[in-house]
Amino acid sequence: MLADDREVWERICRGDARAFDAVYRTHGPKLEVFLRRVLGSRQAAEDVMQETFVRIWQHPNGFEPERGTLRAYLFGAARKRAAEWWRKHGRSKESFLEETAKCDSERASLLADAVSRLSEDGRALIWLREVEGYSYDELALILEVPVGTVASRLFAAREELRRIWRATPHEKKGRP
Amino acid sequence: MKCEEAADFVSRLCDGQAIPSEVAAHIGTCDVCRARLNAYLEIGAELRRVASLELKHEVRAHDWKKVEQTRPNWWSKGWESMRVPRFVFALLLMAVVLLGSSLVIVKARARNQATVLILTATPPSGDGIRCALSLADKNAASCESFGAERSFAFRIISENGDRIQLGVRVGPGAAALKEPGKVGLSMSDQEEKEYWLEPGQKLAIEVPGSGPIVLTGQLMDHMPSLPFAPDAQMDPRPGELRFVSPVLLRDNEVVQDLGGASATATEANETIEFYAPHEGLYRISRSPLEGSVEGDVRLGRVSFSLHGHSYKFLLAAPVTREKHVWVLRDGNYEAPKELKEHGFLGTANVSYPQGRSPSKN
Repeated sequence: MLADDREVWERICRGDARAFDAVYRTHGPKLEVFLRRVLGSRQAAEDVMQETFVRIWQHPNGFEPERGTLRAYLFGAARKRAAEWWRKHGRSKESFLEETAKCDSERASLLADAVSRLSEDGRALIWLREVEGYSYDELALILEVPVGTVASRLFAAREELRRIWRATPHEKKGRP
Repeated sequence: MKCEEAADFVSRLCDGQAIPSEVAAHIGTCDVCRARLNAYLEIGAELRRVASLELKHEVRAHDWKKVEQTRPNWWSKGWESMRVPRFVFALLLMAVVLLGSSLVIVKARARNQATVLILTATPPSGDGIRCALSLADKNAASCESFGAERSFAFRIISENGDRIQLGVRVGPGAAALKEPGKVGLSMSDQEEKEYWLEPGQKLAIEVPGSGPIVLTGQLMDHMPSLPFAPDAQMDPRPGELRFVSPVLLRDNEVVQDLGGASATATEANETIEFYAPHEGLYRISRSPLEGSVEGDVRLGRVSFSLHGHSYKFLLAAPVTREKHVWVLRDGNYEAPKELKEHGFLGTANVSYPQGRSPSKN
């Protein structure tokens, strides 16, 4: 159980490894799932997640409790690391296909494929909204874009997903 | 209402956002829009299902104590969280920065690669002054800051262990320091007092008539490229508009060189102001201003055309993440009399002062 974000952060800044480890164990798994979807590679996701936490531990100076939660800050930091990863490695369709193939069902596989067709920002946005449940204000903070842009990009991402989703067999069969 | 018009609002509705009543009424009665809403909800549910299947509850163990940590300090935390224009400075020659109604001129001497003290002086009101003082190079061991109300000069006298002996001069505002017939300002006639500063600790200095200024210092192992913003990055931050060491060219002829001066606009309603004597004031904005022309941004260059001439601002660092900015020239601008013959750089709010509007020339 984590205490107040500000208190936790102050402890981290003072070099409290136990406090940081608690944050890492609490948020690391979700961060990794998010990065897997954004990067399209399990290995890259784990590497980037680890790098994100190591960097934050080494230089704990970016979180501002008055602006948002520690969790949102971690996702924002992970997204930046993911963007760096993309700049270094470029887009690899193969990796997405590999990731898609590991999904548990055709339905999940189709969705994963649809998500992979979105832009990097679109993937991050739809995941953070639908899975992590961030508000528009929090998304604006994490993605460093205006709230209006969050709304319009979410709409665009959903429309793209819907376009692919409606063409898949499950809907024709009247899935719930 | 057409479904295409309501589509964006369906997405917002899906997120629990408020939507206009007429749109809500349409969605309530339209099968197409309801189908879209259902599809969005279904996709969201499926994403959450996939996420829950993928979630593992263990992460690779780390012994964080073995990972070296750089402790944050007041300096880095303050700089990261700063919401006002972060740095204003001028080097070599005189430069002036206008921040709101205040006037700041900062002058510093040569720079060098050496152990450096980043000094911050925070007056009771207004923005802090930052400068880099070399501990090894006497030619780079001093800086001066000329403000509307008060001016300051700092120099390193000596070191003793963890402490640094500073010479501090406090004088009147820039206008009172101006000597007729001379270019530039000087603090040499002001009395110098000596203080010991310990980096990381606060040192309060009483300034008669305006309360104490607080000095703080941070050591660096080299002279930063931007001495008044040692933490500044090459890439502008989102929403930032930054002019570093600008030179204005018209048809490839130099109009004004403000080498060493710098200003950053970080708020949506802030603009950069670039004043060239006998030319007027150039106001650069991230959004169109009435009467402004569009300028193309390429890294450290802003190109625009005005009245049949081609203009370029050449800058020492990238200006903004945007592709375009807008430039408004005010040929009727009346600079403060002590600055009329010198260029200056600063930031200001978008709205013009009462009684003055941009000229059309």
